[in-house]
Amino acid sequence: MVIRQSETMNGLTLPCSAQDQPGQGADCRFLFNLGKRAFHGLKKSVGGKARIGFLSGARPLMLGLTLVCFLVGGSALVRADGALSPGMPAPEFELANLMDDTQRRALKDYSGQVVYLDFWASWCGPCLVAMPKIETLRQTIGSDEFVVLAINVDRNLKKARKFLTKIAVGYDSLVDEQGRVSASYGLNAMPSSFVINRSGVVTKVHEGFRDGDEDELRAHIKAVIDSGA
Amino acid sequence: MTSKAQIGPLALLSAAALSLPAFSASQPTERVVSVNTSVYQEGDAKAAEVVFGDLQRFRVKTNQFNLSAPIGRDWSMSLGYDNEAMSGASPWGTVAASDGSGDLIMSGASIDDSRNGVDVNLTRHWRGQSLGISVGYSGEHDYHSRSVGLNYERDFFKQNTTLALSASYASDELTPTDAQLFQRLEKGSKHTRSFYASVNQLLSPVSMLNLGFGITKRTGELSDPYKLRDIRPGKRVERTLTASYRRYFDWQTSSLAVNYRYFWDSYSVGAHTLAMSWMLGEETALQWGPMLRYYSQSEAAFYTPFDRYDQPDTMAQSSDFRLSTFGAVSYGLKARYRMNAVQVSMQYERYDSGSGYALSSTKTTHPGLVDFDVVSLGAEYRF
Amino acid sequence: MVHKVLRIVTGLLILLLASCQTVEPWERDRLAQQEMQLTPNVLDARLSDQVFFSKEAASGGGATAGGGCGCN
Repeated sequence: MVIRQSETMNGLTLPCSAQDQPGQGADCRFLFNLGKRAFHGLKKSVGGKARIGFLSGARPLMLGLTLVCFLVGGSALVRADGALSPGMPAPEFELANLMDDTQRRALKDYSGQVVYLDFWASWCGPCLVAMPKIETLRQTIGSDEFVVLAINVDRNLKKARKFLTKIAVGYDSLVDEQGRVSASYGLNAMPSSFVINRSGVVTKVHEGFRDGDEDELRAHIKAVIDSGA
Repeated sequence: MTSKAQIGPLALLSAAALSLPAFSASQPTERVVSVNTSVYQEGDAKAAEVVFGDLQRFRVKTNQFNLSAPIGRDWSMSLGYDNEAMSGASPWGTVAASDGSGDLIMSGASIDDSRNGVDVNLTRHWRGQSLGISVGYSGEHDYHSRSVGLNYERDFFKQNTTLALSASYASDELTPTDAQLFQRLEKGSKHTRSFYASVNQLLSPVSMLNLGFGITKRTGELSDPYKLRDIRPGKRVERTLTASYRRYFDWQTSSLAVNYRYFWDSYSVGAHTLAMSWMLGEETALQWGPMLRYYSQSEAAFYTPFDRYDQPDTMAQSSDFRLSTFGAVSYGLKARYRMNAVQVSMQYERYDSGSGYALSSTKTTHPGLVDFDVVSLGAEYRF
Repeated sequence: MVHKVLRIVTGLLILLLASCQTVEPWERDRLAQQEMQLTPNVLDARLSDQVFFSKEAASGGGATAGGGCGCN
């Protein structure tokens, strides 16, 4: 058992090699120097001075991670330009009813009415929590000039149908299996809902659904109905 | 309003996922209570490799509890508690054996101890980002640890990319038992500062990748006070690089999880960890699947196969098997059964370690290397 | 060793990302499954971390380092 060389770290002498193997001395010294640099770098960063010591150790990775973000997010950035916003006309669609695929509905069937269009899926928790609240919203507004329409985006319709049979809501759900209508509406989140006025123009884009959102929506929908637009 | 509409919608879901992906900064939708109980049992030490002490090694029974819930519109919390009851002997030291390796000196009477830990987290959510604070406490009769942590998450590009940053600080206090009797350290403290950053990227509708980097600095009394001769540097800087991949397959509605970690520290330990698991039946009531883990580490710079009394007290040394060159393979099976809002799970894992499994070569095998089995049972209720 | 690992990870990363596409919110059903999460089960992860931390030199690779025990 030959101790080749030793370095000190924090007052303790560290034996460089506990086993007599050639070449280990050089590795050892490299590691001790690396350890020393890392320690001094950390010391500097903790002391609030130049953080270069710490960062230089992680720099290649930080650069890599930043590159990742830009490379893969770039295309998404471009796509985001197509997002639907208030004032724009709501894209037209014609889809089959989830519970009865012989029935088809189109957005223009509701022209002259204020429409609350809700995109949901059976795998999306907030979407499901929102549904009874939307049903309440529909009933409390209770106007012939207002209609709620939902678009389901499940790939597996069985689950969506099963869910609807258990939670009875008084509005229809249409099927957008391919996601084409979702794409035309430029959804940024699930759930997403849109308030569309009588002329087919979007007046509100609502993303997500949290506690209390139904009050905000009720106020907006009433305002749109009352405005006559 | 019909009576059907009054049933909580989430409780009606059976096999589907119940909330948006957890890697995003979104507020969770439902409350979840989970419990777990497990038994960990190490294999006995080999009589031929023990010169003194009990052969029966550790047995640990663990009970865990966790509650997670959204609070109002913008907040969420989680509360965790765990309790461990430990018994069995552990290595005190190693003496030189005739073949150049070591023989164990085990603790005489069985250790009988328990540990209790509590962890609380409170998170504030905004559109696309969240900030949380965690506080934790863990206590045994001879060891107390208090920790505090901050974590931040932010989504980019329609939640395709999520950046997560976290920092934590822990302050530990040790008061080893029978300190005067065995001339041990009477009181010591340890501080741990940690920082972790990761990027989660969705690659396709069926796959995602997560890359992370972590750095931890430990200072204070790092030597093991229960070992006969264990002298470690008072500072240890550890770094980790992690890569995790998830892939979903329509075949059997299964998913593959692969996690890799590279660890390196100022003790000159370098370790690779590769863990994989496969779960089948994601969209059915019963899910089950195998898991496999491979681990390999190289020894600390001051590791020695047996305790050195010819070296001065100012020279670092440790014959702790956890700082030796070794590798380990563990394999197991997991199963889960979902019934509406309740889910029960069972898991078995077997761990085998040895110097032969290691990527680096070593002349000696530490007699203290463990093999163990873990069996656990769990249940979860969402409401 | 560190630089070698970094190079390998970066290489794999570039390969994987070459097939990257933007995943729209309505396409995330499979990614939302429990086993597709980084931490499918909090309690299992905590138990694993504790077990391996007390028997191996390596630790971490996750968000927190707190809640220590007197086991290493």
